[in-house]
Amino acid sequence: MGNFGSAVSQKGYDVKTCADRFLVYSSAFQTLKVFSVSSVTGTIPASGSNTITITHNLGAYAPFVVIGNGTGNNVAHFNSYGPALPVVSRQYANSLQIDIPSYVGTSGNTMYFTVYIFLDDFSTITETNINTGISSGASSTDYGIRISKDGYDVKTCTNEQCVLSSSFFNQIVHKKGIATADVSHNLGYVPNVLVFVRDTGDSYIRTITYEFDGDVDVNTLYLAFSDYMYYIIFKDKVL
Amino acid sequence: MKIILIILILIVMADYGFRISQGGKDVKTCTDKECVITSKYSNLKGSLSGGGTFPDILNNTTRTITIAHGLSYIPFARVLIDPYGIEDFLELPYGEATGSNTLDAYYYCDATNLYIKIYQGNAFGESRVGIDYKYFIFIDKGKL
Repeated sequence: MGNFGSAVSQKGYDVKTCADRFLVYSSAFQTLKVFSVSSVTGTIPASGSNTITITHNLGAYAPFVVIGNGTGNNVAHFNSYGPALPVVSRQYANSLQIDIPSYVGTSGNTMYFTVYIFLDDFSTITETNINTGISSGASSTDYGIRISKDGYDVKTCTNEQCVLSSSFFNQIVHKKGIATADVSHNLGYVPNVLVFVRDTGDSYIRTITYEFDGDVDVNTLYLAFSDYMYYIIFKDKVL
Repeated sequence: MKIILIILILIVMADYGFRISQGGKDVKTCTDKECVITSKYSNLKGSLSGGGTFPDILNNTTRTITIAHGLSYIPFARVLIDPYGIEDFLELPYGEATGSNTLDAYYYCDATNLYIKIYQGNAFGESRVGIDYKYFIFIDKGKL
């Protein structure tokens, strides 16, 4: 019974022998699923802040990314309104709020955002490994898998319209949880991470911006300067 | 007979999809959150990843690293830097303003490139050296 499961590797890698980070998915590991991606706008106020609220009703603090598309809606600044202007956002259990402060631009202009909310929470997943090697396990054959999003024809849709494809790497979760101390990951390389913080008494999590916090090295994710660190460590490594 | 056949086809059409549960969960009854993959929800799909080291950043200047992504739209991306050269990375945007030093680091994408920018200001006129960066560019859009 314990042997049931499935896995798909990236194109060019042997699914039986490749390191975990070369998998597109495995039933042994959780992945980061996109619950919603939306385009929202708000007006820059003359003073104070305007607030955009996105209701998702997930019932838990969900990981998220706010991308500022500027007043021209023609760029993507990640967790920023623009150059050196970190975005102020708060993720509650059932809604996400994004502030638009007066200092981000000319009063009355429209500010555009793209917002990703992920179908996940910060319940604990401990690290597990199948293959930890850094060798590729390369395969000369070209088998693969491609799954389209609901409503798209997998034979004709674009790559962006796929749920997954063995042509691309995926955000496979190595471990996640809520921490009050440094977190070891033991991957032996610097992984990709998503880190949020919450202070005692707050009913929301927020991104870390302009702080030397939530930094990660080859073995450890270091505690952010707050009471609680909500984290996801992925198996990704820069190739 | 034709009507029955059409109804059957519609029922089958509605059931197309793909669902893989986590180990230990029954794929027929588990929640979407307990799935590793489901065609109901997309995954972030990585296209390009890489890294390097910024050239020396002279005092009161901004250095830019430009990476062509080859997509015809503005993609989702993530960038981490190692501001102190100690193999200790953090996600951008990042800034520091100590008594003598100012640093602003951020990144953005347009429909052609990913740009990683670091501004360095230092009261003693010193340059900043050895800042490593890592980036991940996704197929998913950074602007819908």
